[in-house]
Amino acid sequence: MNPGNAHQDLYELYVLGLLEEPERSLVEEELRRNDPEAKARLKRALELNALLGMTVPATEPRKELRRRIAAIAEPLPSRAPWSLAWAALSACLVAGLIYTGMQRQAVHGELAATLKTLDQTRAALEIREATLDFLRRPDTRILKSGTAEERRPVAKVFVNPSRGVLLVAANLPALPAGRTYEMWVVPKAGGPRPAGLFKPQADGSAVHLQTGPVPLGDAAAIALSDEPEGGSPQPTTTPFLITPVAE
Amino acid sequence: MILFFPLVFATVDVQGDQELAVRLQRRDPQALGELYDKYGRIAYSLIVRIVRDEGIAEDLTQETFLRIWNRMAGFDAQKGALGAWVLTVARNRAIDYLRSVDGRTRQNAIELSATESPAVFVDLEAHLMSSDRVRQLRDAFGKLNDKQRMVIELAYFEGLSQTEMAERLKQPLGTVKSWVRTALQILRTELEQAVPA
Repeated sequence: MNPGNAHQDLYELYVLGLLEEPERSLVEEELRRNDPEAKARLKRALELNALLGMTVPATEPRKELRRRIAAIAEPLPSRAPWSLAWAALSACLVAGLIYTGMQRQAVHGELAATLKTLDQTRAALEIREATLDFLRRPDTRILKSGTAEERRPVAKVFVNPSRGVLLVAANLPALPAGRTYEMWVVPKAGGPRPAGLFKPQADGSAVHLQTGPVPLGDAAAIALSDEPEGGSPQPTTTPFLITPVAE
Repeated sequence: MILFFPLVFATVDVQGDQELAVRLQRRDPQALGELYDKYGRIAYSLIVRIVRDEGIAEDLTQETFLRIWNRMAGFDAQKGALGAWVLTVARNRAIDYLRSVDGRTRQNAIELSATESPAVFVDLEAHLMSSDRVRQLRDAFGKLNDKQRMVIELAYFEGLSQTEMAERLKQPLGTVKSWVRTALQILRTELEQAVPA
């Protein structure tokens, strides 16, 4: 056998995301060392992985999909009327949902911050569009956490099993430099699963959308914790704003 | 019962990928549409094959291209393999979805993210996605026996680890590992022999 292929299959499984311990640590250690042999194995594995992806029967997507994907990159000015309409509708929906349970001041601050952000960056527009899409889905449910007492953290969490989790929070404590908030999906059994990082606005409000399917049948709660910049695989501080996921 | 996938191969012309990558990095809005025209159908087909739901596949294809668009800054436009990266991200999105609905989300999700970093898709074979290479893989598949083909399908299209395969197939883990290792060796050897020195 070619020595370069000594444990090539481990790299192929690693690239597929299927390598288990202890072999996974072995591969990761070789890659960390920047070993040329390891890099060559990784390259071969990536090539096989990509080729395998081409073995599928061709399925024609709907033309609508191209429009959706092209819209990701459309510049704001060329679609300003629609963008503004969507942005306004999105902001109104979010604001209306928040308004019923949260302090008026926080709502106004968040709405103003949201509109400002929407005007400033395309990334923010994508988030708001995704939020609107999330909220208007009939299977999105609302959960509540905290109380509306003065300056206590409060949150509303919207969950959709196929789309993700949307957190709308207020009164979050300001974070020191080098820290971030991390959202968690806490399963009924096992450790919390990371659900994205975010930082609150200066007024303590925050809107955080974590896209992707959420197996709600297995979820017990949604929670936040204060983590180092870059996040943590498991909470390193006591989670708070624990919002139960009702069956 | 496990159905083997029909080997209906698609091919893409990778000519012009370097220029396309540069335009994507410059945030040329039309470039993303062109990327989709080039790789969208194969990415969508792959996701459909994995999740077996065209509506979900559309959402996951959109996520795939959004991720590519947002991570282009880390891609090496001169030496990177755009198609291989798109297909890897597409598969990972689909496998993540399968794992989440199956309640199989675990540390492997971290692995998937680690192996789709744009920085690793450099210096791959120039003609990786050519019709010749695809045909060579088809020929290599012909050398696998049923069990070997089955474990490759379970790994690639269902995202099962070897332990999960052993449970699914009610076979000892060592046996499954042997099938996987042999299958991968055959595919690799056949492909390497087919590459001109």
